[in-house]
Amino acid sequence: MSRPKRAEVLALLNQVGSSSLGNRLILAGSSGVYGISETIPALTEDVDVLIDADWVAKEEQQLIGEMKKLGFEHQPETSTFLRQDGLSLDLVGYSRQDSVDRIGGGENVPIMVFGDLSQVLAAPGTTIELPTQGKALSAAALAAVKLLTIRLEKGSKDKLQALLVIAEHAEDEDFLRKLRRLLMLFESDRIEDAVSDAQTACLAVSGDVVRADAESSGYADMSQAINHGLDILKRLFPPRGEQP
Amino acid sequence: MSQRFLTTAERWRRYQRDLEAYRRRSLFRRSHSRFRRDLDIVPHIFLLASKARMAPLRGPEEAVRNALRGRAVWTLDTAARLVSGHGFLASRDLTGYLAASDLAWAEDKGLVNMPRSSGLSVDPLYQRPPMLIANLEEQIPYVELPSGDRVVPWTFLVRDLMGTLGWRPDLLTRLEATFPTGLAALTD
Repeated sequence: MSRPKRAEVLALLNQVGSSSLGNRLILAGSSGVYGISETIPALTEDVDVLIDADWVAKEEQQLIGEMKKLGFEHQPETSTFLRQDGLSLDLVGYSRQDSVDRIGGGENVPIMVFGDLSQVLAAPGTTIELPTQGKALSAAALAAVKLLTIRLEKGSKDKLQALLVIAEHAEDEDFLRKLRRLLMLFESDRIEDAVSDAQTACLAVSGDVVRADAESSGYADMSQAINHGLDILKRLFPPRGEQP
Repeated sequence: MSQRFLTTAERWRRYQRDLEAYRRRSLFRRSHSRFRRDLDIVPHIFLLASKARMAPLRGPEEAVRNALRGRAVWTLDTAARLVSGHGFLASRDLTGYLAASDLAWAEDKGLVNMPRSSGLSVDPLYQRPPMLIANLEEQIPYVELPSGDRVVPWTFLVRDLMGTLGWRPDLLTRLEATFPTGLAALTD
């Protein structure tokens, strides 16, 4: 398995955009960072793309066939497609019919469907057209999804990337409004947990930076950006009791 | 090197595990406000060695409780059983406040054996008969139930619980849902 580079991922999306899968695949996950930023590290070994799991349930063979034309072999019992050069592409499901967590897709290509993702994608303006062709999650949607992501392994990575996206769009009022609107789709407890998780991740990095040596100056810069992102997030969602 | 990818079923199981861990973390976060609120009620040591006595019951728990009606102010497990119908301790002890003279009266009447110093816990740490665990404090606020039994008010129960079992947000939350409303229903 190879660690994909930004140009490689965008070229893949371009290739997908020209295929009959067209707009069905949406660049997301950590590789979604490639769609909206040139500076934030993706820190991923695969490419995540979102797909309508209900469509997969109906058109599974077409999906497998089209992916084969693009050079990807389906891995049995998984939602993973592997290219000969080692690039792996993972399908992540959403649904337009419901917003619950479940296993969807087809018999051959089972896909995890995430309720949060389905809820976010049902909101307007959550995907963008990439200049190089293909679709990706918008910056606000990517930040919201990463803030809400629940997973024990690599958990901090999602939060840190979200904070870096927020910091990069600190002056973009439209982005901040959209991010707030997307997170407000969820219950206040979820938002509180998302902010708390972001803060935990931020504190962990701050601690690392304190112990870092002079050669890690780039790391310190990133930590500052993460702090900035957290400040903005806290301004958008002040703790209960401090709300106006 | 061959690469084995996680199957969707494996991913699903891992996600369920993460959700469960996350739910516990989330509940822990939610309990912070409970902790701050409960700390406003300063812990009180129900089992303070100089104040607490325990004596084995010589009759059924209900008979001894009835005999002490109007004298004892029940708290902790006994109060919870009387008001909300459910206790929280395994042993069927009687836990309450009683004047020293009333405790002596109970012994004279053969309701309890000779009182001795209390233990470190209201939970039995050894095999023992049901006990009357009494704190010899006299000025205790109480609410009188239609039966004539006296029980401590809700905030006092919290105080005793925290001073006896420590901070138990699970138990406090359960009791909060039943005790104050049970008390109101019984006394209205």
